[in-house]
Amino acid sequence: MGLLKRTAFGGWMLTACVPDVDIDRTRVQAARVLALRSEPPEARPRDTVQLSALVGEATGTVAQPMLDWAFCTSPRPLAELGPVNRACLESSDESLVPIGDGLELTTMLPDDGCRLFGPEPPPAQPGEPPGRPVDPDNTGGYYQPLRVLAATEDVSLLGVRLVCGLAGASQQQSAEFQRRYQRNLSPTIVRLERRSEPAMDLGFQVVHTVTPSERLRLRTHWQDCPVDPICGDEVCTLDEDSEVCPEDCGALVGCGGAEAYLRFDPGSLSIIRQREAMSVNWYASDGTFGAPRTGRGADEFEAWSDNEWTAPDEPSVVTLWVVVRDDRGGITWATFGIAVVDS
Amino acid sequence: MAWNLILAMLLTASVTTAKAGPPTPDLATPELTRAPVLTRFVAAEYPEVERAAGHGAAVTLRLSITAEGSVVRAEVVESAGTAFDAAALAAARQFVFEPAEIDGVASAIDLLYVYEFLLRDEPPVEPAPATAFSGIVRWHDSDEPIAGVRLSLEIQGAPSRVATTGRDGRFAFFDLPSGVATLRIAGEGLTAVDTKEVIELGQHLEVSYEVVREPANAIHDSADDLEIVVVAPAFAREAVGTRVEAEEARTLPGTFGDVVRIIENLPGVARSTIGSGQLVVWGAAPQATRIYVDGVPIPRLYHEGGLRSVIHPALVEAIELTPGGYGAPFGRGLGGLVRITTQTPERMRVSGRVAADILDASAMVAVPLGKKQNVHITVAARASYLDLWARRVLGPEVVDFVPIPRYGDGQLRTLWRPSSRDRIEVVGLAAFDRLQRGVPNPDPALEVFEQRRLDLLRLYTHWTRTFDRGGELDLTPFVGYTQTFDENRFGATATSIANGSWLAGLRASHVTRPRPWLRFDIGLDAEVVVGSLERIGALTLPAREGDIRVFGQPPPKQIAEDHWKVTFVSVAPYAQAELAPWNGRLRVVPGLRLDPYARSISRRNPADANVPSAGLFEHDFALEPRLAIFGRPTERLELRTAFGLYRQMPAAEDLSAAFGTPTLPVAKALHAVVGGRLNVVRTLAFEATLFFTRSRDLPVRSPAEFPLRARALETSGRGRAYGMQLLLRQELWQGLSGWIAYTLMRSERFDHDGAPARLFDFDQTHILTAVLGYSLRHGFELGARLRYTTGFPRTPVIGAFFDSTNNLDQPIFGTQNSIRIPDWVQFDVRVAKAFEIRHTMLSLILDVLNVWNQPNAEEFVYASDYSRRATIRSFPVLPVLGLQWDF
Repeated sequence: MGLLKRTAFGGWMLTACVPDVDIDRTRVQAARVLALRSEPPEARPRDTVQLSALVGEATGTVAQPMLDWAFCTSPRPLAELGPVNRACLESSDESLVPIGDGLELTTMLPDDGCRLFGPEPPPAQPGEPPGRPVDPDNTGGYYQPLRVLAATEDVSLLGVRLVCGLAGASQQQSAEFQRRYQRNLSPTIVRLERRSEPAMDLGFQVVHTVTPSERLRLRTHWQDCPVDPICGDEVCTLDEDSEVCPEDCGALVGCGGAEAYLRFDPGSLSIIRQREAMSVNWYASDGTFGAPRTGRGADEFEAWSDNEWTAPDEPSVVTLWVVVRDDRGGITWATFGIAVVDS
Repeated sequence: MAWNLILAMLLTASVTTAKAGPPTPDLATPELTRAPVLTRFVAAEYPEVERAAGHGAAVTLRLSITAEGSVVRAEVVESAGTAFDAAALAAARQFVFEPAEIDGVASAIDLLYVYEFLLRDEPPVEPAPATAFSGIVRWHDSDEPIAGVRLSLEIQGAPSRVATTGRDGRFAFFDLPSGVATLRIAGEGLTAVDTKEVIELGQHLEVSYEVVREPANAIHDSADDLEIVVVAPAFAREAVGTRVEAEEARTLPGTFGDVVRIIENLPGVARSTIGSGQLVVWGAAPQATRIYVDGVPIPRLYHEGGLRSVIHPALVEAIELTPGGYGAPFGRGLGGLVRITTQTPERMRVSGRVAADILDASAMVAVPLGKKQNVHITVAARASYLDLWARRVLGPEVVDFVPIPRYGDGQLRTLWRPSSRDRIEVVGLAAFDRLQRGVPNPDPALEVFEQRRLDLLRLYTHWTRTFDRGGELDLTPFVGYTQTFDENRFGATATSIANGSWLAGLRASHVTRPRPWLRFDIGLDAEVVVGSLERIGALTLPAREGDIRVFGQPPPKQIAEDHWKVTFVSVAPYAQAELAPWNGRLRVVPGLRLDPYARSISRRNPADANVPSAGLFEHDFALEPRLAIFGRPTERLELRTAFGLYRQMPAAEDLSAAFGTPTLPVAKALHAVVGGRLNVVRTLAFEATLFFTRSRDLPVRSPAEFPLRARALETSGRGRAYGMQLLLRQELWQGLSGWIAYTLMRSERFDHDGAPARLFDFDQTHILTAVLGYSLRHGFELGARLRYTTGFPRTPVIGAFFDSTNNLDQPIFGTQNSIRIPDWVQFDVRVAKAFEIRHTMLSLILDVLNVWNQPNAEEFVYASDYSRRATIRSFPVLPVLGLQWDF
């Protein structure tokens, strides 16, 4: 049976069962939050972090969005299947601690984050033993929730990764973990490349020209992080520090790509080494992408990800946003301009 | 005129072990128009020497009977020793028969008679006072009496009797003991029928039987080999319940020949989501309904995908569903009770079945062994190949996306009848399931992978010994092993749970009938389960009943891990009486079940502070009273009511210190049932039942923001379900059978004290099922099924928010379970044609599901930003062609 028939038969089975309800979330036609970021992406309670948002609309990036930022102090109940307590999604609630508004702001993380959202025993009820601490995620992380309310009443959520102790680890393991663990560094977009012969670096904030309906094969590059520590490679990675390799770890610690990191595994009760996975979100004010998201798994070592964008049929100026995340809460983005003109 | 015509009458063996069939009229010889009927039976004296030595025996005699019915000569044909021979001869010479008739004239006749000596511990029971059972057999379609019909009567603990109807269609048995009698009506040109009658001491029972003509193309084998057997509903001791014989279920559409699937069509059973195979009875959770095969518990009824049951259909005898209010012999479940009775074919020759359709292929072979052919061995196996051809036709890319199950099952059975009172079956059941699918994505964080595995093994022995006056001893020791593994991966977030459980148990039942109106059933229901579990992943996956979520929602990334062991011990003795005064017009069935439980749960592994550092050991004890009352104000009307308390141990999966609560108590339920049955005509009955169930101490997720350690679940859950069910059932009549079942129901849950009632996740307000099967001439069968159900409740999504950290839009929910999936309606048909080929039967079966191509909704599905909602559709019109060869 030929491919066409197989596809048709399989399609009959599938379309008979699963409807196509999805919408194109890559197309930004109204103002909405595309990404939220904490810098640094991983911090201790009481550390100062810089928060920022990427808000896009049909005409491009919104420079002065009305965003209301608040920490949420209510833990997620076990019965809640969502990422946070529902109270965190309200416009105002006693569990919300306002911290400011605007596109960017600097604030200090609450000091009880590791007790409410981390591995430390939560506050005990009178006469009762301490409650159950929060389980770590699959990267060993704990997150302080932040609610961001837009003027349109749309709610967004950011979790700032907390640096806390280890649950279930021995003192020796905790000490080793503290000594070796490197906090996450946000990824860095090295370049956006137009996949053609020869490949062309699109650069940032530069308007490029395409014809209507033209297909662009795009590739986003992030920093290529070595798998194993190699002193002298100009990247301060896991198991490198200023004493072992001062030439790499002089200023910046970490790598703006898929970093190797440590995690305490509650099953084997041991410290294990993992590597970050990377995700790329593609947005455009017009035109369509081949896939809304692309990325690389932890076992993939390529430091880039491809997508295809088809220009709109009519001449216009299109804004492209590329948002790159690692799975430890690190996030970065870049914006590009594309002019669609008749040839 | 004397004719030497020899009949074989195996009076102590079942019909199917007779050595010869009924006489076939020979046009060249005179015709036996009435067989002799034993009207005076004399018990032989058991030789003391042989009794002391513990010997039993069977002596085959040739008796010469005069035209007046007396025995003029008796001689031994097969000896069992001098003492036994002498005793049998002495007794047989005192027998008195109603004389045989040849060509309508009373005539002398010779016959073979097997006198069996059974060694009993108790003293021989004196024959009961004279009791008569007589009647007439007519054609159902013309009411004409039928001559030459052979009636074989079996009463537990008494020798078998055989009678043949005369030209007037009449027959008679005399000097019968009391008890429940099984009567087989068989003869040339009619469909063999087994039915049960209650014989009361000193009473003369007069009956009239209407029988249907055998289909013209039926295989004309020995009457002792007749396969088309329809057994009337068993004497009900449950106030509500439906029993379907396999032969009836086989002809109904939608089962694809898998007779167990007929249970989906019974009243009180909700239609579950396609592929889930869940059994939701009277608004109880799927795991609250216990499933037994010959009294042995199995964890699930269906293979993955719900396409097939785990029991080979050729070996199923009957399926019985009791949705609630059942008696003391069963427990450990808050919901309904499903009992599947299997059988070992007892043919006198090698027989079997081979079947295949687009889903799978199966084969069964039954072989008789032994000089007396009292040993029967059966092997059956089934294996699916849907995944193989689907992969070939659709390509691996589609098969990986669409979950296509791979399954198989098999049975090995041995039946041995060491004596006419003993029946021993050794049965091995095995089943496996494999299901795996993966949905690739350009972003590995969005890739979905799912796999489920099941390995199921049960080995049991079923020994039944019958005693005089309806007594019976039933022992079923069993062992088993069940291994399940479920894994779900959403990107890098993996969740898995593995459970390997050993099971051992014993079901024992001793039924006595000291008086015709009194019956006792004393028994033991013991189970020991030793399970080893391992779970990794989010607490919220798999989802629980009551979880507020949408289909396909990724779980939180928080993960935990635990390895734990659980041991359950439950040894529940029970006693149940049945009092039937006033000639059975009132029957009261009180029962009491002692329900002690003990369990141990190992510590959390790996260890965690503030959770039990040593394993828990807990025990519990309770009495579970049960009561059923049946009243029969008229011959056609029976009123019923039942009440019972039930308990259920928590699931082993809920006893983890990391994912559940090791100290969960036993959940409890109360069932109350009231209803009635009106027999409109003999084969058409109408039943109406009102029911109410209440349950408490149900485990639910802790709503606390700071739950204590090892307290992820609370027992504050309560539930109630109430409603009514109606059933209009046509039992097999002129090839026609079927029913219309309607259930009106509401099932609610209260998650916490003071919480308002919410709809149970599996609540279905209306469940209407109409099924019809019709056997036409020339081997054609037609069947049709119409089902209509209300959709399951779901929680609406009223908004969404952007979760930047997890890079997902997340749903915001409205009121829990405040909307429903659209109603579901489907019409199915089945057409079959049987061809006789050299005394074998080849059947071609076409099942067409959803003939109307109704776009039924199975589940809601949302756009990734939750701005749009649509429904996942069930199968479109789906024809399934199958072949079946019976030999």
